[in-house]
Amino acid sequence: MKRPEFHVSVSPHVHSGYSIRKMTFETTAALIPTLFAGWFFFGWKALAIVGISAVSALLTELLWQKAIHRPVQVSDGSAVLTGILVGLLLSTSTPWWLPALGAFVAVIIGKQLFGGFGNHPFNTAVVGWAFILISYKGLMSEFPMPAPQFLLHPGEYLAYSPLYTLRDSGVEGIQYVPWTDFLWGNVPGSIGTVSVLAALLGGAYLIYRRIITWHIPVSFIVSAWIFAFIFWRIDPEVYADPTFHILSGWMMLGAFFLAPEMGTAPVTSPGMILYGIGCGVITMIIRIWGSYVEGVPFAILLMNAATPLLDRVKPRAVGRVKEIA
Amino acid sequence: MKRFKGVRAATIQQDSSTPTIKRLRPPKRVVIPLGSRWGNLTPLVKTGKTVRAGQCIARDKNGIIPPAHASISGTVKEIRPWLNFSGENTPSVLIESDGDDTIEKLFQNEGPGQDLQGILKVISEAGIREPDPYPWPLAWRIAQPSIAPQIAAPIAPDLRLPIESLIINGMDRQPGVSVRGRALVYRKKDLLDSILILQKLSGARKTVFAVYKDQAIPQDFERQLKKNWFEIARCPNKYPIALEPVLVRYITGREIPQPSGDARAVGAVVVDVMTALRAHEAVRDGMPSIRTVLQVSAFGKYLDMYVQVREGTLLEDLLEQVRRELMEDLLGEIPPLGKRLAKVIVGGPFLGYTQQHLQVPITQETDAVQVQSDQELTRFENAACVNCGYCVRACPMGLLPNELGKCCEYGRFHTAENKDLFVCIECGICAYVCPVKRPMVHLMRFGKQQLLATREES
Repeated sequence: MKRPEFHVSVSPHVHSGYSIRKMTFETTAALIPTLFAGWFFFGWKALAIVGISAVSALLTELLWQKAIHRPVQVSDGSAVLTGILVGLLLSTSTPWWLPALGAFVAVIIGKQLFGGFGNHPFNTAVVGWAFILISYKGLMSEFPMPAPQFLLHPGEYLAYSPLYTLRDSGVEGIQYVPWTDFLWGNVPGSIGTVSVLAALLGGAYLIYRRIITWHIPVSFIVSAWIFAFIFWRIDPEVYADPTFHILSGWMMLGAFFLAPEMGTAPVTSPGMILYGIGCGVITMIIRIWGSYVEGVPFAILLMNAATPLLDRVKPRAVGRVKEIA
Repeated sequence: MKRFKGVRAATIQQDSSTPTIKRLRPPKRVVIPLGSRWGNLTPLVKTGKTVRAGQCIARDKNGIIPPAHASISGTVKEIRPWLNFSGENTPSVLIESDGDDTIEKLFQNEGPGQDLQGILKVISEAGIREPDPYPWPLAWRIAQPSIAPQIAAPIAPDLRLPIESLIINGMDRQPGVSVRGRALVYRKKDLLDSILILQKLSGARKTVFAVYKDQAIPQDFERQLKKNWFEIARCPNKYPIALEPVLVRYITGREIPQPSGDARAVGAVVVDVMTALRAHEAVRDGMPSIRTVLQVSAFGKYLDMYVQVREGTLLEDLLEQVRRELMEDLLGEIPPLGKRLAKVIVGGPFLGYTQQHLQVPITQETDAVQVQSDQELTRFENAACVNCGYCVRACPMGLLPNELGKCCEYGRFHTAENKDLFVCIECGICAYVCPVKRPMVHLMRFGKQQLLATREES
């Protein structure tokens, strides 16, 4: 056959220009409010931890891909994003090597061993976090008091992070905390998870840019609220206010940044809603009866495992006729 | 009306500036392909015979395929397989011009008048072919059951159903092409008449004129449409709303059964405005369908021009003529197009086919020719799917393109078939939004082809 004179390819002959790089870049941009909140409440050390974690993730991916002779893909930015998220899940009282270790594990075990970006079954950042949580539990359960840089007074209603307070002193411990403290993030906690407002801002940006859809965050938060509400109605003396639950801990960061991670979440809309509901319910089960105070990471990991199953829940194809045979 | 699900789809910019359509001179030679999606026509002429423009040169024995007409007067040089624009070798008639340009009409003195059967016969004789992959030719789709051709009913049982809605598609199929949008402006009078004819033929209860939301329609035209109780449906400016299954679902809320894709099964007919205009020309003037309006665009916005060419003009001749026109316009400051040519797309950026060489005839199935330079090329990559789900969000047919693509890639064609591979209409929106640039349409077509081959073997 004669060699074609021109380029021959299949349709379409145009592309939207979206790439993994752009998406990770925009997700990172959406984390700017959270990073700012981390700096605002916990000082420069917060940014140092996030930075160590990001650099560690980047170097790990680079060296790994060099070592196994795979094309180096660090420029897509997914490693940096993972690193930043791992850093945000830690508190400023952790030693400097802990974020580095967490990011290392997140990239190697969480992602590269499964074949790289998009093919990992579990959320990379949460895998790294879970590894260091289980290995260094003592170091991971210290949360420093917030020290706002300006304007706000340090929140003084809680001495420990809200969920620890809830477990140790019951509903009385948390009921006098003003909800604005949760909104701003003026409570003890890890760098990125304290500020609800910052995570909401970033999440709104992600949904506006259509990086993620509303399905997972909304069903996650709403189902957690409803689950907590049922128990709160049964006995408000024992079970905390549902609004406290969705404003505290990892809920917002988890719903907007961790749960919808590419490749680990279902892709169909019914699947995404079921996934969100599963995350919300498991989170509340762990928070209410579990031995860990924070349920979000484990809920996400468990629902990640259910993702292949949820991907089978799909809408009927348009115009599909039922087989007669 | 249903909510349209084309998320993150390509937005279509409607250009309603004053249209100028250049009528190109009849070319020195044309190639009339005799193939169609229903089979091949049988040629009525022999090599060496003289034909006149408009003369019928090939006909279908079974009467399904619309006949083909010579588009210029001249001598038949050759009848042999020729590569058509979609890359298939079909028998084709090569005619060389003798310079005479009088077009032989479909009828000599009087038209069909008000006789529906007669009108239908003229339309089917006119040899109208359409860009969209409709399951049946226009004359079959548009005929209400009482006047439908006798042979149609046994072949296509759905044609016995009454027509409920006639949808006149005034929307261009894909971003970057605005042939139909312009026809609304410059041929509104003819268009109105043609819709009236089609309405009569179809006996449809409801006639819907579908246009893009920001398409400018002339005021008087809109008034006339409303006077005749035609509905105007404003559709979102999103690709792929103008493709038949998507459009019918959007407007009537009913789903065309796939993969047969016959809109008559749900009582709908879709006719695009260019086809409607052709039908009108045939009925009013007896003009066989041998001319087509094309949008020729090159190198981004460098060149964007609307030309009327004869059926069967070779791409080579078309581009040369366009180049000359430009030289006249721009005082010869244009480099020859051949210099920077990297990719030639016939049929538009989303649905078109790339060409290996320029000896390819332009037919009525085409409404756009696009030329891309090296810098504009979109290259697909051999990358693994990252399960981002963007294609799932964008798919107008509610499929899971990510899984279909993976199944086809790894040779699990039957799994793909169970996941409704054949419902795919190859609109290409999945490949358009894919962040790792997987060649989705290629994978789907590959899978379909393999499955069809397996079926034929067994």
